[in-house]
Amino acid sequence: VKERRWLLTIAWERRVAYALLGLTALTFVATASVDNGYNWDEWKQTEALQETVRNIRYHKTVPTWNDIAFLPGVVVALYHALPELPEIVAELRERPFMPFEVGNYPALTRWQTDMYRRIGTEGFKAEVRTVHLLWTLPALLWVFLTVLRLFPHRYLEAAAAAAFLGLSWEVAMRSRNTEVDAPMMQFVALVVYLTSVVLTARTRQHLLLATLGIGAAAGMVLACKVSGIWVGVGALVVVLFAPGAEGVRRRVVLVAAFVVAFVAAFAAASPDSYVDPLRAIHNSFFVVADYRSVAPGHPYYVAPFGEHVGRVLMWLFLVQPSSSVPLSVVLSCATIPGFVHLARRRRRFMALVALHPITLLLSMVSLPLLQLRNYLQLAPLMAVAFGVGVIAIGTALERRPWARRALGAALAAIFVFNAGWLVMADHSVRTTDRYTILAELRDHIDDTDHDLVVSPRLARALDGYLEEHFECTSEGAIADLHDPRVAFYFRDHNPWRYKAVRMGFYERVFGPLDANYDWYTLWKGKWEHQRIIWMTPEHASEMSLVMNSYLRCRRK
Amino acid sequence: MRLLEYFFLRQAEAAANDVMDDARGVALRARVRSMRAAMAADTLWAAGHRAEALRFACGAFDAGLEGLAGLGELRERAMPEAEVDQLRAIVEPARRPDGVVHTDPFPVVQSVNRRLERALEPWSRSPGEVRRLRRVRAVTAALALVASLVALVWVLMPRDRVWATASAYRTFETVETWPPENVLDRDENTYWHLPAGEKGWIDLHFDPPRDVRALRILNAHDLHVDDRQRYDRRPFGHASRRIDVRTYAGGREVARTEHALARVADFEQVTIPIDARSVERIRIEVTEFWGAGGGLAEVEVLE
Repeated sequence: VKERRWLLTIAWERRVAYALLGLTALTFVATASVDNGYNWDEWKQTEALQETVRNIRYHKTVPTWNDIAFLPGVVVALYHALPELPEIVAELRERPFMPFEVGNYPALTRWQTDMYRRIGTEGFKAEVRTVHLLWTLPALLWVFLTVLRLFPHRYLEAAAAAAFLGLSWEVAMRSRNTEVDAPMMQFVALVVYLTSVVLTARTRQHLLLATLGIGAAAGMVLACKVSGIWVGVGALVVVLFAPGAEGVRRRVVLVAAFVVAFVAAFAAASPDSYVDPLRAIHNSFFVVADYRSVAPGHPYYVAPFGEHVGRVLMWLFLVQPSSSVPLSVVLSCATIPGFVHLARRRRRFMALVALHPITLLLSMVSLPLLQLRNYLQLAPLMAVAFGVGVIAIGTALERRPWARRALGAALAAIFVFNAGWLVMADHSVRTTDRYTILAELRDHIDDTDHDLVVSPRLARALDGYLEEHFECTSEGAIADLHDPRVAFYFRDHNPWRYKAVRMGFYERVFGPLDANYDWYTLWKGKWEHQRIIWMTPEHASEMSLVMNSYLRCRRK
Repeated sequence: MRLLEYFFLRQAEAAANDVMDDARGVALRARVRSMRAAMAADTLWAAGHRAEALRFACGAFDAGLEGLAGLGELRERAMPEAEVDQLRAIVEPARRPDGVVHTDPFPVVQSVNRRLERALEPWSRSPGEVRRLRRVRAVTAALALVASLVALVWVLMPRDRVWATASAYRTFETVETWPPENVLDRDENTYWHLPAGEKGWIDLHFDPPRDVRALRILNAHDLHVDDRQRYDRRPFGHASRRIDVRTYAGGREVARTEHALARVADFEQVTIPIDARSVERIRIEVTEFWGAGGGLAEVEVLE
């Protein structure tokens, strides 16, 4: 009976783990809310794609945005060309001696006209974002496989690691936009996985294949962002210290394979680097200078080093795992034994993969610009550490099955919460409008006992509500009010004076759950949402909000 | 054949019926021992303890052989002796008496262990287990089939379609466009704009035709912001001032009405009664406009 139960358990664990992985992937894709509004920089991709369509030539007009972010748009444009493709090819074959003028080929012109109509529309943007999201999705698989590779047959823990990554609101948010950080995270996850493969390769052929793979993945990371160079350096060290790389000749072969794959992948994914090398180099210097420049008052600039590190770690451990800080703490607590367990039981793996975050943090923290999306690439390692942490805790509780079951139930509950949050966020992006936002604000005012300092525009929008419940004057000291809160439309303040990357700075933001406004304060989103900020007067003064014209409202 | 065996489990059932309980118990215990040793070998390998891993893998092989031996006369049916000898010939060189660890044999030994485990599997199941497994696989396959069929029907199902075409629409350097489908996207902040200074029309098409009670219209307005770092209002000044609404059913015009539209101040919408049956198309013609040109933000069809 014992043997049969054991057989059933391992079969059950494997199936449940695959089902959980599938569910996580489905939640990740299905709650994408790719129609969540405007991103600051997507217009650059749109403009470049228009140029590509206009000239029928791969043309990236803005060198600051690389090909990894540009390619999803090209993929969608090519997808729309498929129905016309046979006719386009036939026309090209019919007139081989004619100079290539788009107007000479009706099918090509039809496609071009159709693309002019589409590009720039919300529908097209959603299609591009969907491709981008799918481009990010394999990160879940890489994390799952990494845990499985390091600790064979621990399927449930591997699925938990994938859920840690796939159900994170922060990861989901960054994956919705055509920004390069989410695909970069995917390639970093692939490098982490291939590190485990290189270290545990069972034959020389496997080792060579894994070396080629890790080279290609590291090349793709560099193609995403210059800061990805640290991943390349780390991956090279992995290859140098691979267990099967004994002997100078063998090592030289592996390093050569790594370099070839690295350069090939980088060149394929970043043609700018050799087609237009001077501009590419200029752009690299521009990015470095931009990150080094100090812009006083800029929402995303912080005091260097100490503050930078503190905020990044705060985000990584208290925000990134879950939208609820207490639950983030619980999940992060599981990552710590994971790191310890990795350091003790998979020492070489831990030493090698730690190179990347350490070098990244050291190189970035001296720069005043703090854009948290740059640190999204650390999420896969956190997820792996989480999975391993669950293994370590499970092993420690081996003699207390009830405690293990309780741990499993608690983690399942947290993941259900995270998944529920993603569903809710997706729903809120679709259903929120300025009326629901105002209704939510009214409910909140009813539920609290604060006096209010309200912007004139918001007071007008509340349409008689304030007069009914408050006595409002345009003069008087804010300090005389009872525990006051300032409420105003996001548009009521100069965007560049907002404070960003500060947890809890804004007590409440009434709007859709399309961004975590503490960290991405200037997110534009959909214009019609018109979010409302609710904060203490002290914090409002700190970000130089001019409240002279605001109404002082005392409860009746 | 393998696929059929996966679902019908004929050979597995025959094996389960033929094997005696004692032999089944031996096969089961040996199989579990072999699997546990093989899994431990995988873990040791991942931890870098290669010699230990290889030793455990060989132990798993030995346990598998014990299971085969426990089957007695049925052993030949589970795995022919010639094949067992072949596997032995693969595994034996991995047990090096000199203690030198050769990495490449490890995956080979583990794959041999998997073959042995598969050979033992049908002999370690009771007839009841085989029947249960068959039922589980049949139900799973049926569910997957039903889900696939539902998905296929959903994809191929004809849907009610409403789409818009227009006489013209405005574009700006082709980066920004204001195409007619914007009036149907339920987004108040995207518009259909006519080119500056032009009058024109937008058609709403219905497939299949439907009864239409009224249209709810939101005029174009100037709150548009795009992705080009414009945080505040940009006065595009496109809005319709007077529109002519014509409704077509059965290929002929069945209703016509003219309306004056005001500039939008606070997203207010205008409801235009239609009351027509089996409507195929509605044309909204902009005959006068405010500012630079005509346009509409949203048109909702009330049925």
